[in-house]
This record gives sequence, structure tokens and C-alpha cells, in this order.
Amino acid sequence: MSKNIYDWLFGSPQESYRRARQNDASRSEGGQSRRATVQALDGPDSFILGTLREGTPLRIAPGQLQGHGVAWGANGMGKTYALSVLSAGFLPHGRVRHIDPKGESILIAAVSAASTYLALPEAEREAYASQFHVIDVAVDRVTPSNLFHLPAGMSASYLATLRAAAMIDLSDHAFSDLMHHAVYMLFAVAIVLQRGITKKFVRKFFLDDTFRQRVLAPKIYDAALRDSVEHLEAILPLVTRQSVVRQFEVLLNSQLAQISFGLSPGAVTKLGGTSDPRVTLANCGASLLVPPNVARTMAINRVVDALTEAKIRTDATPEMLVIEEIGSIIKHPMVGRYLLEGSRTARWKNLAIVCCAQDPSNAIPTEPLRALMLNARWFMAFESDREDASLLLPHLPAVSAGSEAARKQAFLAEMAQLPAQHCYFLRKGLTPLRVRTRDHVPAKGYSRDALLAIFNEQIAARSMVRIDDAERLIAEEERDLLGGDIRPQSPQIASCPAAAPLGTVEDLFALLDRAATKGEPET
Amino acid sequence: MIRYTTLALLYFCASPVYAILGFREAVKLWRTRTVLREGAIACVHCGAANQLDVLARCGKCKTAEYGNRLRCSACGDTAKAFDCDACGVTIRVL
Repeated sequence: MSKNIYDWLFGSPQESYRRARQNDASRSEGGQSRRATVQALDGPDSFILGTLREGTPLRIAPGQLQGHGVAWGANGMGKTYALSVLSAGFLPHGRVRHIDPKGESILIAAVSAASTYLALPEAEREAYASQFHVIDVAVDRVTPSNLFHLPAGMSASYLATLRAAAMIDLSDHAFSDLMHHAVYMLFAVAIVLQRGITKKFVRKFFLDDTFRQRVLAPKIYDAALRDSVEHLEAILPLVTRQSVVRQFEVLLNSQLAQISFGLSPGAVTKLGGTSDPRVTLANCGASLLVPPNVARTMAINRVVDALTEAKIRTDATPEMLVIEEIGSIIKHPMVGRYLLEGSRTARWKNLAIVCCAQDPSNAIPTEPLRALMLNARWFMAFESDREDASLLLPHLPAVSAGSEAARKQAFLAEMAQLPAQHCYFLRKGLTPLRVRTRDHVPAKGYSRDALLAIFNEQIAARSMVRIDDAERLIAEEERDLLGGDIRPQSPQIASCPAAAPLGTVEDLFALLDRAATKGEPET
Repeated sequence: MIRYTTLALLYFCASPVYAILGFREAVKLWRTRTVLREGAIACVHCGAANQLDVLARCGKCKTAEYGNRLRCSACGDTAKAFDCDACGVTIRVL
């Protein structure tokens, strides 16, 4: 081919020369900003996230992860493992709570924890294992849920609203407004009385007017709630109440649901648990033991718990809350709003919420997604389609040479073809870095199953209780409750006992009981 | 005379084939030109964007110059492929 043909094909040499000089200048500029970013991310207690293109390790200080984060990418690209690396790196800085509605991350975290456990000297293993609180379900053991515990300072009605929302999500049935209110009423009463919810209690509450008016109502100090309970038959038609009872009959069929909803705060205390864990791993994945709807509700309740605890917390210990499959949680309007509100305010409590999704553009509604992206301080993006990769475009540094459009196209094409373990890590205000996350090195000589068995026996078992014990306690409390033997409310819930009217003889006896408990005369 | 007539007939019969081949070649060249004019090629393995116009050294005459990495303006040599800057995988262009 002649020179003209080559010029036609490659473009003129003068044009190529000009572009090559621009690219060289741009690369030099990019290299400087990359080096500045690497230095900025490093700091005290830093850990290695992975390696950069040129092979140098990328170190991240836990303080750089303080602030919300969003991680996304296709399945199997290393997102979950990278998050476990981040969590492990953040741990010396504060607490880590991992809520996993798919049950995969917990396995990775469990293998990692078991490897660390085995690497420790015998004398230190006990202390290490005691840092964990594992929320999981086994054939004969379960981690008790404290659904009806009212944190100090929180309104019972707000907690009831959130629990009712999660409960309704458990069902595939469409709940009418009246049914929704009925479920809320049930949860409000259970929270105020600090009791669990069982099938028999639900039947008695909705269908036995005498029980409601003579046994329950006198024990409720909240005048508005007491009035609603006393006149429930006027608020909710019998058909609605029967419908709600039927729904609970269905939903409380599984043993796990019976235990989750049946345990009162008192019963959970009796069963014991881990106090102030540094690592909380919540396995909310569906399994042969956990139906998908129950698993989803477990995840929603764990998110509510985590955000509520953060709101009322007084200590300033940083905490990282990792929520996998955020799309399945945030789609529920009430819980979604609670989460978004948390993402706006939780930083005051040193809570960093890390939201993960495979394809956030599709999994998360537009408005919450925009709020999450706005409130997040850092992003980690694995292989993504154009729509998801575009979320990073506003954070790419401006080009000093070449076409902006061409560079965006090249970036989107690159994101669509990122190999496994490769991701872009971006801390807002800094240059995005392409990182290959570090490899997982399990303990030598142990298979994955062996490590999981060690984790379950030595670490997870500490947080779990025998199902038989939990069922026995639920049965005892149910018998007491239905028999009218309800303990007086805690001072926190009965915040204004003096204002409680003495409407019935039961009120008088309850007042005398409280006086006897306090050991001081009542006037 | 018969020889030239037969040859002309043969060329006439083969002309559609040549036309098709020529058209295919033209399309291929046009596509290659489009790719080259974009200024960067994404690696099929790692997806990294590789700039075509850089400071490059000719594999034949060893001349280093700013320009298209697939063409040497000194010796006129053209390369059909180059190695990805990020992962080293050979990227075939021409």
C-alpha cells in the first residue's frame, strides 16, 4: 500500500504526533494524581486491599472507610470477598456488622475467622471467639432475636411500625390498610408489654374481647394504645381480625418464625447472649431450614436493629455496617426510608453504612439510589454494565487532552470487561484506582468444610441457643400471658406510671404490685 | 485470439468474486480505520484502554518517536499487533 493509503488508514503522522504528546502529558498528570491518591488513602493502621496495575500494593487506612460506601458488580467477580477484606481491615478501628440476605458473605467471613482463630495461640483463641456475635440457624440451635426489646429513648409505636413493616414483608399476601393497622397494634402491644407473639396470643388478642379488655388493656400505660386495645372491635371489623389471624397462622408455621416472634426480651436475656460484640455476622440467607420470606424478614429486622442501636448509642466507637443485597431491603418503603434517614444522620454516630448490590441501577429505586450515591464517601465497582459503570463517571478526573466522550466510552468498555477480583476503588475527591483485590489465603491443611465446622463449633455456637430451650421458654411465657400473669412494665416503657388511670381492679392490683416491687409506699 | 477471448471470459466470470472480495477488504479497511481513528483500543482480556498514539519504539529500525505505535515514520514498517499496557496480552489490530 502506498503512503497515501497508510495516511488514510492511520491518519496523518502530524496528527498522530500531536495526540501522542497530549497522551504523554495526560499520562504524566494522571500518574501524579494516582500517586497522590495512593498516599492519601494510606495512614495509621492501614491494611492492604490489593495491588495496583503496576504491582504496587494499595494500602487503605480504616479512617478512609469512615463514611458510607457503595459496592456493586456482577456475581462472582469478587465483591463479597473484597468486602470481607475491608471489614477485616476496619476491625481494629471499630465494630463491624455484616448483614447478608444471601448467606454467601457469611461463609467467606466464617472461613476467614476460622483461619485466624487457628493461627492464634491457644491462650488467645477464647478472647478472639468471644468478639463474635453470629446470627444464624442450625438444625437444633438458633440465635435468639430480640424483636420486642425497646431501646432506651425510642418510641414504642415507631419500633412497632418498623417491625410490622418487616412482618408484612414476610407474607406474599396483600395487606389492606386495616390489616396493616391490626399488625401494628399487635406489635405495639407486644413491645409495650415486652412479650413475644405466638399463634395463641394472636388469636386471643384479635378474637377474645374479654381477654383484651380485662387482661391486656389494664397493663398498658399508654392511654391511647390502651384505648385502642379496649375498643379494637370498633376499630377493626371481625373479618379483618380473622384475616390477620389466618395470616399469622400461616406465617408462624415455621419453627424459626415461631421462635423469632415468640421470644420476649426477658426470655432472650434468660437464654443469654454475646455482650458488646466487635463483629456481628448475620446470616439471613434462605436455606433448607429458613424459608426465603423468613430470611428476608430476618435481614430487614437486623437492619432495623443496627440502625436503631446506632441512633441510641452513646459511645463514639466507629462501626461499619455492611448490608448485602441492599435492593431486597430498600424496596420496602418504610424500611427504605429508615435506612436512607440513617445514611443521612448515622455519620454523627460514627456509623458507616456500606450498601452492596449486583446492579444498583436496577435493584434500587432511582430516588434512594441517588441519595445513597450522594451520601456515600467511597465506591467500589466491579464488572458492571454501562448503566452501573456510569455511576462513577461524575467522579472521574477531567481530561486535559483527548476527547472526553472517547475517554468515557473507553472507561465504560473497560468496566464491562473487568476480570474477577479487579475493581475500581474511589474515595470521593481522589482519583479512582483500578485494584486487583488480594487473594484469600485459608489456613493450611484445612478444607473449607473443616474451617466452617470449626467456625460453627468454636465461634458461632457461643451466640446460639438450643431450639428446645427457646421453645420451652416461649411456652412458659405464653401460658403466663394467656393466664393473665403479666409482669409490670419496665420503668422505661411505663415512662409515666403516675399518670396511668386506675380504671379497673386489675389496675389497682398492678399498682400495688409495683409498689411492693419498689419497696416504697404509694399514695 | 481464442486464448485472449477465453482469458477475458474467465476474468469476466470471476469479476463478481473479485468484487465481493474487494468489497470485503474495503469494509475491513474501513472498520480498521475507524478503530485506529478512535485513538484507543480496549484490551479484550482486561478491558484496559490502550492509547494508540504514544511515544513508541519501532520493532524493526528501533526508532523512538511520538506517533502511532503501529506505524514507523522512519522505516515505514507497520505492525499488526501490540501488547496491552496493563496485562501484556497481544492485541491484534490490522
